[in-house]
Amino acid sequence: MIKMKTLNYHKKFRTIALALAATLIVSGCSSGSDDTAANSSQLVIADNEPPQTFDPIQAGNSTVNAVVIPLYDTLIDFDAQNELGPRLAESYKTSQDGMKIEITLRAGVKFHDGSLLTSKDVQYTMDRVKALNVGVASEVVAYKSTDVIDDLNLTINLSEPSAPFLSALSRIYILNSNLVKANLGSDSGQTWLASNDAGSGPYTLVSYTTNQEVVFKKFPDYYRGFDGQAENVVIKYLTESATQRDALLNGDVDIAYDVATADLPGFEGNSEYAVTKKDTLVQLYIFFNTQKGETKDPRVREAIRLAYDYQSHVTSILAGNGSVAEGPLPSVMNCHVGIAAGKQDLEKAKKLLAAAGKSNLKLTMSYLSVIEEMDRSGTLLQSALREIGVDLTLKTVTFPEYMEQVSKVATTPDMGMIYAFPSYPDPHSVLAINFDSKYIGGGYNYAAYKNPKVDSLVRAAAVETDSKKRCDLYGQAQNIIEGDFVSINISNPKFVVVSRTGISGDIYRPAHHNTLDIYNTKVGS
Amino acid sequence: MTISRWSNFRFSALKRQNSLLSIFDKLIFILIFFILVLAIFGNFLAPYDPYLVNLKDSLLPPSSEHLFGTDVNGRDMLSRILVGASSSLLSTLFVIMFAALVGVFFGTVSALGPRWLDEIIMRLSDVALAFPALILSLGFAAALGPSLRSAVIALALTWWPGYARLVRTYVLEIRHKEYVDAATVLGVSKIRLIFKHILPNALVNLYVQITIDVSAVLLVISGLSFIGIGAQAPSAEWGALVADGRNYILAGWWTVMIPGVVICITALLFNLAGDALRVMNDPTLARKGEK
Amino acid sequence: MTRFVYQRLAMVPLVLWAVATLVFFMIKLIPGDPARVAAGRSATIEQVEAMREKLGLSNSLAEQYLSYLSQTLQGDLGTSIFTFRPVIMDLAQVLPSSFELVFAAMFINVALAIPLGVITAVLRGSPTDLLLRVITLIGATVPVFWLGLVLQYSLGAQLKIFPISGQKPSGVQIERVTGMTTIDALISGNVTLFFQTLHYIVLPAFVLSIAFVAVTARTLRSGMINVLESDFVLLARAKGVSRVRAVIRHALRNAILPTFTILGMQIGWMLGSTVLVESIFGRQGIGSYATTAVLQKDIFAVISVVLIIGVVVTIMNLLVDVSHRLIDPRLRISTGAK
Repeated sequence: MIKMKTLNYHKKFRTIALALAATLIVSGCSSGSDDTAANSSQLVIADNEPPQTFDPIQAGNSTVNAVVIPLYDTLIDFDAQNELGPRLAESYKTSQDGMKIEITLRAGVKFHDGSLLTSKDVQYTMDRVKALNVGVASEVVAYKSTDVIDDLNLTINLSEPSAPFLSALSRIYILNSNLVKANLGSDSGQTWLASNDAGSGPYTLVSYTTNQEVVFKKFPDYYRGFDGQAENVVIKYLTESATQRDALLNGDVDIAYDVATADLPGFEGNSEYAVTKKDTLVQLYIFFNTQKGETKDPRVREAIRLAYDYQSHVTSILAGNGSVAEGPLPSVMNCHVGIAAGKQDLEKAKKLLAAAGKSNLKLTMSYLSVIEEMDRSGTLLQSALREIGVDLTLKTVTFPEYMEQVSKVATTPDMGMIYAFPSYPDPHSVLAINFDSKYIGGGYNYAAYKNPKVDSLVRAAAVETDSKKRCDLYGQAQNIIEGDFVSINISNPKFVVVSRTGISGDIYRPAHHNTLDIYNTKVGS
Repeated sequence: MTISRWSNFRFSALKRQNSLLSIFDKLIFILIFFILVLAIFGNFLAPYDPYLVNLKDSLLPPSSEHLFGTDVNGRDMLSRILVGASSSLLSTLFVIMFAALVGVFFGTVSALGPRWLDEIIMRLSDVALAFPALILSLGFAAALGPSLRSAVIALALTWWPGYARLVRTYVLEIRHKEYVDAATVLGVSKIRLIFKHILPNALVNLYVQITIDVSAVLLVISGLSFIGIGAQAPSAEWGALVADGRNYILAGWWTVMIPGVVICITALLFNLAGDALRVMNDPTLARKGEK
Repeated sequence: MTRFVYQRLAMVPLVLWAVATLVFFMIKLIPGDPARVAAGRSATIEQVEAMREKLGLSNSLAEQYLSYLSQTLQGDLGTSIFTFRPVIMDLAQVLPSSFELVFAAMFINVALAIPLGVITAVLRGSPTDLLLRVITLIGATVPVFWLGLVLQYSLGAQLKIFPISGQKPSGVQIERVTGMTTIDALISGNVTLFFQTLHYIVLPAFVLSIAFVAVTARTLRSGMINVLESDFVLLARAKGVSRVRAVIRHALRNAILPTFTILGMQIGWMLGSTVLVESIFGRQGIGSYATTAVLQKDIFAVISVVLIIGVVVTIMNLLVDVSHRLIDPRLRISTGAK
């Protein structure tokens, strides 16, 4: 009797243990073939920061832009070669005085709910942007109103001529006005649009799991049609570059663009993967506080600029994927004038500081250390400044915190490391927005830089319609800014993408930095 | 009934016998002392400048020049670890000291004082205990900004209730012991009673818990630095070192593996030391094979 | 006994109120400006102020506190400054995943710790005992985040045995019933999918449980050793009960109580530790949600997480206290002497 009962205990333990083991083994076996990353009808992209909303009005932020691109369309847009071309707007014409833009829409474009896209939707979208006055609104401040002529024809009226206006339209994504109006809530649909889709783009929104993944599905009635794109697209949010690398190796993910520089050689030598490097419009800066503290003295600024090892930055930190910046405007932009690239000269830096009577300076720099380039650059600068007797404290901030700091001159740090992601390849997107004093405290003028000459130059260039005259104005502005040592112009990094072989297409557009042009991403079989 | 066969084995030398501490235990205490010395003097002992960036030496494997290799910025890992010992260990010790002092104070007051005070203190400790240390640290990181300081504050605040309760229990136990009664009868003043008779005996058990907790707190602090809520770059705090190296495990395994092993070994040592202390307090445990 | 329960129960609202207040003042110390971020990157000062109005951030502190309390009691935990969604919706989405992870880790904890505790107690003093205890001790002292990284890299990226991150294969939709991926997969009837989700949870749950296994095993071992030496076990053996049966039916049953208490206390601690594991393995959950919220200075989200966890742990502690007294008759007698 007793013996049998004991056996039962043994048996129980054994069966439980076996069941556990079996579960593990079975789950192990069943995963490989079903991991849909290897499935050619699904594309999985790794991104490192989830979007705060799906409302296109916030598409000025690259994380939002990334998810909005497959869902919506714009009137006109840039391609991978930075050429502006028609999308929803079949044709467009700016009037002679620059105050009106006549647009003819493409016929037969459908929203995801089946309804047709008409001028009313464009009018609604533009008016909403102006009324809410957040996000992309500051890119189109010249907008006044839209006149709807008929379903396919409309005129946009501006309050003043604006040279970059057309370019800025590349960030205005057209909403399904009826759908949004049906879900207005109390904030013009922002709450609803935060997690819903009111677009006409190549993909529809299937689901968003907070901070985890977004799933898109092909929209069969898309006006441009399909040729080789994936049936489903998933953006998976993996914040660490190490995780992105591991996911690529494991096959969980097909494309990733935040892989650490040190890991790239591993992928370059692997025939299963392709490493693509693209030129960008991006520039990495360190902006000085030009109005307060020790950095108010231009000699201090000049000295600090001379301390940095720009060459090592490009060879070591970027591993050659990029170049040293040449002046305040990214060198690939129109109207760039010949300004020499930064060069380290520690002796001269020391002399300048001595001449200015400064010794044992203590400065603070805010930077977004989550980004590899900034992290390493900050450390490099800190070390270099020690050589000239400057003690630099690095302060990690998040982007929101940095915005708060630069909203007032009093709280703007001595130095702030930040990228410029120009929304369009026009000098206005950098020279006006970062260096016009009217943007101090308003978000973009990180250096609290105030030079009336520069202000008048960039404002004149904004309304100037003759391209040669514009370039002349911007050229002068660049030289003045450079002479004022407003910023340390560090690098123009390239955009590096690691993908499994079989993926092709113009996946990167400089005008939409840090996003993939999902429509132009083709998956092989 | 079961142990007799095993206790005759050769390795009985490892076990505790007459002297309270085996060779093993003594080794542990020596190592701990050694680590504490490193923590205090780490800055001076480092062979290289732990903060000097030298990109040409990026990610060098361990060699005779760089015992633990270099990190992605060309900084010597050994130096970083020595300096990081200060951050990691000294902040850990601060947390424990603070928590212990506060805990002992409140625990004693709670046990010996009026009933209503006891209630209040116990409710306070309930509130503090409601928050797991990591979660409260997140809260403080949000409020004060992520830093080693906010992590330390948060941890100190979450840790003291555990000690308060322990001390309270011990004191309550001892309060009714005979030798206390005897001392009272002999006319010993209340204060002297507390400090010379009650507390020392109560605290004897606390030392064990404190030592083991060093291990736990170290793991929490390095964990917080790892996720970016604790020590900030370019700090060489050990958890931050693991985070720094995380992205380079493929190109330089030593940047991740070595700090992790160091944390593990340190935590292990303190844990074992706590065990040894426990046996010192209660030698009967050794006989039972408790170790 | 019931008097004790009522006493403790009455304390709970008080503790919760204190928790909520502490949390509120903590968040008010934040230096960043959430209004600015919500207004957008190129917002003007007027736009930021308008956003501040909208979020109610310009009221006096007292007003904010009172409205915070009333809202919280109604279940309104505010709206996330970034997602524009009610925080309670965000939390409802992620909380089940954390519970799922904690359950799985607890399961592994028990499954590993009980055999370990029993075996090392029975074989105490032997080399096997020493070896097992060394292994479990290392498990207790190894940093969770480091172990997670190393296993993720070696078993995931290099050996490709386990997935790297997430809770289910990319793009697969699982109908949400409980919010726990594994359970929902099971409910949906797709057995392959269920096993796949298990595959995703194994590594994170194992990593999370490791530290706790050591403590649980050690507690059980102590308890078992005490019991194994006691008279009634000796009596059982003398009566002819087999060794295994004696160990399990008699010794274990009595030794399990303190272990059970430890397990209850560990749940709160485990919930806190999800912060580390979730971020490494890319799992949804209250831990990763809170970390992101802190880094984004999302006030309402952080408040809510700390609050919710405070509530959960308080309730758990109460349950553990009560059940401890319920189960162990010896403790009921000493209630009065508190």
